[in-house]
Amino acid sequence: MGAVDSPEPKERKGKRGKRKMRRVGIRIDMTPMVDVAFLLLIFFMVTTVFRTPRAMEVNVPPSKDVKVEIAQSKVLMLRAVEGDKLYWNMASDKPVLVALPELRKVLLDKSRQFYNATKKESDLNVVIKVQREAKFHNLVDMIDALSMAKITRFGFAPFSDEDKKQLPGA
Amino acid sequence: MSAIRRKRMGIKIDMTPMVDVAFLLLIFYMSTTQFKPPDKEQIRLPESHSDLQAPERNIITLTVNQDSKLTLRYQARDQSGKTVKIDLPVEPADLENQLTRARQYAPMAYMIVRMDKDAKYGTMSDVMDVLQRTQLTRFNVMTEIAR
Repeated sequence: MGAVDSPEPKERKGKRGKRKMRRVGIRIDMTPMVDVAFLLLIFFMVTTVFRTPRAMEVNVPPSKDVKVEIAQSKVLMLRAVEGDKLYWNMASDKPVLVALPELRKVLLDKSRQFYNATKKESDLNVVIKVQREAKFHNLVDMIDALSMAKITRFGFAPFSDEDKKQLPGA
Repeated sequence: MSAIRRKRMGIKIDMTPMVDVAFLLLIFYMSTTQFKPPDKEQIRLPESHSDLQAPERNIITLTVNQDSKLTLRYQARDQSGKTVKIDLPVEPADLENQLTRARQYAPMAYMIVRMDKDAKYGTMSDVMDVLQRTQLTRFNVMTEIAR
């Protein structure tokens, strides 16, 4: 079907004036085009990764009324409010507004700082307080940042007006 | 091009088998590709670095869209062996009953929460309360892999 057979080009010296155009049978060799097509195909076949749904596992305790004793000095509180604003503070320090990348660094630092070698996990007690009007992805970002800092246990607490008052700029 | 004129022999390659193979491959993939059933509502999932594959079988899916509308979806076998397929919107107040019913049909099912990233956290807080009360303490939050 395809023919690799190109007629030899006519040699000509410079421009000629008006000359009778003699139509020579032109056969275009399509091999390079087919090569490129297959190369592209193979490239995409090899590099395509389908977006499969992933999941983040969350375990909640069976009962809400479990009182946990935590040392105030080891509490790291994370707050999220409307407008994608995230705040963190250690113990009774003032809450600090952070962006997500900074928060990840902070969590990593704190996780290492409070690492308990005997228990092989961080002694840090993390409490998350999210305002009801905040977005769901704020929570997911925080849990994700915590799991990247290998902090797998954290507590939820309701976001109260008192919490809002403590925020800078409130 | 070469200044020396080479004597070219005409080569004719018959491309028919190659085109046949290409079409066969195409037809194979056309007939074996399965598409995900289209979602009734578009949910933009939040991103996370979690690489866990979401379970696809034996699941109870709670879908929450941006306006905090809940939809419960699951497929189970009841006692007589008939397949029960549930896909219905749920009022937040009714969620506990519906989930309890779902657990009766599918006691060992995984719980999946598919929530839009911009939905209000308040809805999630309520959902988590209900999950605690219905003993569904292990659940999966569906996310997309963060790049």
